[in-house]
Amino acid sequence: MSNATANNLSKSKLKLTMDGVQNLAIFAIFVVICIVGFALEPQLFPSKNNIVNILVSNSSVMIAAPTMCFVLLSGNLDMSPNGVGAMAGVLFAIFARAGMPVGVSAIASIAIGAVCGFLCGFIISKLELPSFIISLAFNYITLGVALIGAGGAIISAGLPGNIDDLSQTISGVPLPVVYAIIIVVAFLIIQSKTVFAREVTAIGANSSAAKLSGISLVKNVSAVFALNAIFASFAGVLVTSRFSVADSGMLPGFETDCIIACVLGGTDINGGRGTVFGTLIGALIVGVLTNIMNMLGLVSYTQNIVKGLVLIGAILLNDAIRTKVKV
Amino acid sequence: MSEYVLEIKNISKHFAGVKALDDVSFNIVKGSCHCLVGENGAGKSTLIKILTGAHPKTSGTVLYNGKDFAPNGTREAMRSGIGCLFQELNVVEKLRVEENICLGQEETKFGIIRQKSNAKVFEVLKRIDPSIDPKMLIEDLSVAKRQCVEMAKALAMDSDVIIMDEPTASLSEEEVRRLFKIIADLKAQGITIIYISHRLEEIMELADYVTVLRDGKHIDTKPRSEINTRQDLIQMMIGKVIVEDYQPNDVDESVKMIEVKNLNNRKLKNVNFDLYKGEILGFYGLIGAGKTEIARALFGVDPYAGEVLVDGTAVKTEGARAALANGIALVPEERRTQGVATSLSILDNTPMMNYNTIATKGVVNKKKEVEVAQEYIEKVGTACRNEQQSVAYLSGGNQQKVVISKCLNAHPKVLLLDEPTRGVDVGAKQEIYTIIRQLAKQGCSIIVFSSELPEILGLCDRIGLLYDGELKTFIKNGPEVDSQQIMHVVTGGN
Repeated sequence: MSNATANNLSKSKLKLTMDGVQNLAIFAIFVVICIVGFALEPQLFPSKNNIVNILVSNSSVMIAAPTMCFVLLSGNLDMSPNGVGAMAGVLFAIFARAGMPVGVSAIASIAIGAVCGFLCGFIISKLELPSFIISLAFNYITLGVALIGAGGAIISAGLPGNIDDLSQTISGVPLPVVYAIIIVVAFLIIQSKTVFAREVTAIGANSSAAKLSGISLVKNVSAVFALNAIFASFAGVLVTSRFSVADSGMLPGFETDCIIACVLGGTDINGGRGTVFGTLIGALIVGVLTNIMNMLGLVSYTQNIVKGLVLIGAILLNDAIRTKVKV
Repeated sequence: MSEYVLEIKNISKHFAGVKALDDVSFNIVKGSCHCLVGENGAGKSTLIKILTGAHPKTSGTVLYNGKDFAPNGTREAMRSGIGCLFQELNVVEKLRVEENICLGQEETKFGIIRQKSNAKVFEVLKRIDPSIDPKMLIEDLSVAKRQCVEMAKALAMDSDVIIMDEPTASLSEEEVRRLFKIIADLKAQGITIIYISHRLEEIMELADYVTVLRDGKHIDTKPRSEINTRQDLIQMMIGKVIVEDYQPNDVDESVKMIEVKNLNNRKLKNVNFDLYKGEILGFYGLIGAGKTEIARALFGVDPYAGEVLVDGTAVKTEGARAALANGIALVPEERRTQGVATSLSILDNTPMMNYNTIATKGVVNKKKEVEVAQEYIEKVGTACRNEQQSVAYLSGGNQQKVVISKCLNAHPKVLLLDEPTRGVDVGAKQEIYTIIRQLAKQGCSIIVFSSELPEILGLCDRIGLLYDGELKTFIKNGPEVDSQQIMHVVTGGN
């Protein structure tokens, strides 16, 4: 496994890292699933239409999962993306219906989402309360706001015709996919190159040590929750834009989808370990798997069982890597 | 039947190559109060853990009432009659007294708890302290009363040996009296007490026999009648302290790096001291004397009243970040929980206190990041495969070097080290001492907080002696320092 003779620090070129091993494993699984898909449906699976289809249907998760990865890295859980996203999507429709330009409406609703996320993170870190409960409470609050905003139903009438500007398809590529790719790349860079990512990881790995190292828990945890809310809100806005309808139930199970993508990608639910790259692959694994099962005509109940089993398998694999591979 | 309830024969215990106990043999007389004394790390706790089945022994035998005794877990030891009051109490705070007492031994039928069980425990509890209502929540009880609950549990299991590990550490004077009374009662019933304490006056009062351990070795077992003064005990405990290669540091007494005036908080009482440039100052005291509290107050992570001047300027330090900005860094007491993030690599841990050395405006220079990590690996001599290695897979000594690297990367003017070599093997200890001495030579001012006397005597120019939150006195280190006198002060003597 490791290069046992590489004792000299400067000479060892290829240095194994735990994250590296994990990403390699998860990527291998992704490739295997793709090969299976290719074998089952050699024509349909690799077609451009199908690939775009996979990406579009996973764009929401791909948009919000990188920041969810940061939340998990910090040792927290965010259960609010479903509510925050729905609230932003509904507010977006309300603003646009009231005559605000579409772009301004989007930014305003995302900003409101960001404030909610910030508050959530602030309460969790300042008062040292469990993130699961506090974010769940914020999920209810924001979902309630979304329901009230949509009048208990959906908003479709009176929306401006150009509300779908944000989610157009340009030369065969839908914009949500473009956003998702930009966001994933941005967070790959952020994770690799910023002090912020280092501090968040340190907090998740050992919050006492981080505190005694002068790292601000309040600042960083508030920031990750605000960021996660921003991208959950963006996902909600895009859904409203894409369908020209705002529905408070637009993102069912969004938070779990994001968390599953992270965990499949090797992110430790207890914090301190995880990569945006792994999270991206995790999201794609779910997407491709669903796509294959759809092509095979499996009903959604069966699909749920398969997804559950895959999740358990992924956790077992990650656990095995963590305990067996001593890097 | 022999007069001994426990015969300990040639017990050894090794932890990853470190000998915690080395060929220890002695006997414990039935119905006596047998005190175990020794400095921190002498092996008392390890011995207790073996007797209570928490750790298996590496070699040797224990005879309990003449029969071979090797309990498989604490439960088995308890069942066979060896009860223990651990330093950290094993009570569940959110439960009621009665629920705690029955915990794990509820009489059940098909999983349903039958009422009226453990009537005996309540009887015992009543005898120990009638003021405890079984319906009360544990969290509403004082520590002393919680101990009574624990003791009732142990007694109700027909224990004939009860081990008490520092039972008086958090008791008031009155509660201590009550405990001693209980101990006397127990002895009268033929129950054997194994009593561990740092407080020598308690030992002198309670003991029938005293066993002294030092560095994992059995030094002596004597009846109380053969011990005349505390000094005798102290001498047995510390033996001959060899002040190994203490060399005076180049102290510049014209520059006060830290001035502390009337430092007070929950634990500390009016602490005053100065730290000079280039000096290694030591604070010595037993567990609970207030060493960590001084360190944490100076580092701004515990609240305090009083005045602290750093480099001549008054500072009110709140939070580690402010302390680091003032040029103070801390190597905390608990390495694994406070010092390093073990799941992360050396590379990730090294810059934690000061990301400015690897980043500009929040953007990390990855080349610099590797260079900084490698620089400190070389500087402090961390033995590792490379900087990507997880700290979890380093030895204790090397983990501590990572903590020191972290602090050095913050370029401190004052470095606080709280128990810098706890749980570190002998070789790494010396290496850490060398690092500390070198830092002082480079003009860094250092405070070492330690409960190991040889460590303090080997490193420090001046030594502050602490007892129960008070700074008793300062002594200047040198060949004439009397370690027995030091021991006398830190165990509460005048």
